Amino acid sequence: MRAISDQEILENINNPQRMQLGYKQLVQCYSKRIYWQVRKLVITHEDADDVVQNVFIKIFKGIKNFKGDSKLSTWMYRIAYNESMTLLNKKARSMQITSEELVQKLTQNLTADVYFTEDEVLIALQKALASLPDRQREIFNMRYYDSIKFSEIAHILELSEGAVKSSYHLAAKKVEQFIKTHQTIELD
Amino acid sequence: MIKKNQHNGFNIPDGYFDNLEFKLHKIAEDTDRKQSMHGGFQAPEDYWEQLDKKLMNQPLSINDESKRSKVISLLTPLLAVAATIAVLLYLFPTINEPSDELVTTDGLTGTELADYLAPDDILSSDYQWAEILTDDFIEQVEVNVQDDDLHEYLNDVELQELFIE
Repeated sequence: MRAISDQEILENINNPQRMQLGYKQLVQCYSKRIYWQVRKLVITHEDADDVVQNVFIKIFKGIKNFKGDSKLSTWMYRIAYNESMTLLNKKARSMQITSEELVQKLTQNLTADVYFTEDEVLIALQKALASLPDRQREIFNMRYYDSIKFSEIAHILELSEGAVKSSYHLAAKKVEQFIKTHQTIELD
Repeated sequence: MIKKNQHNGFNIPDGYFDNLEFKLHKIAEDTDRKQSMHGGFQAPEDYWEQLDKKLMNQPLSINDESKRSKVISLLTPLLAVAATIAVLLYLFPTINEPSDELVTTDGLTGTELADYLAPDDILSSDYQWAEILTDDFIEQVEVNVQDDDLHEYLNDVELQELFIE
């Protein structure tokens, strides 16, 4: 399948005759990426499904005003991050706990989740990630799993590149330390 | 155990290549695991097709919503006025029944009128009148009093009442 550029998607969306095609291309190019980004933050499939739909509603409503100051993916990731955090905070508030405590609670239940692997290494890694503050966890996810550049992560989270690098370094150290302490797996 | 003089003097530990192969295989496996398994999270088998369909319905419904909202914005004030009238008619059913009877005060006694105008006897004492009729207020009232009348009044009035005034 031919790779579609962001420019082409935007041009189609802004053209009344090709608007539907533009939306279709946008969904095809980004739905999976956005889902996995959200899923790693909110942990459960059901919550990720809800958040992704809200994210795309916001994207569809706002895309005609997208000025192109940043990459389209960066803009979309930022919406996805904000929506994910809104859901986590809302759920945490209703349970009268912090969002970090909520994530730890959800991660503890991963072994019973039918939509999570039985791989012990990955379960251990998720538990380690759940011990991180939300922001460090997201930075680690974006860099480690999605291989997003530090500069782009900085743009998505509205932080300086230096702050992102230092957060990632800190997160990686904490993850390593967590795994060593809990002796669940051995890192090479 | 180290094997000597096999590659221009460079030596390797026994079983190194077996170990290296294992390590490289593990790195490849980890990369695959990292990128394709999304940290271990999985989605239902037919989820992607459903998700794209759900998302593709969004632009249509958003457009419909914006069209509908224009109609609603015109109707809303009319609906609000109609609803207010309906509620008033329901709460006060006599409001729309015209009455031929004229309202008069003929049937009222002086006391009833006084009670209506000054309920709870609020102006029953001289002190209360004194509080209302201040000097400023009295100065604004034009009074035409003859000297004789004034003398007569001063002779009749009790001292306490005079202080109040």
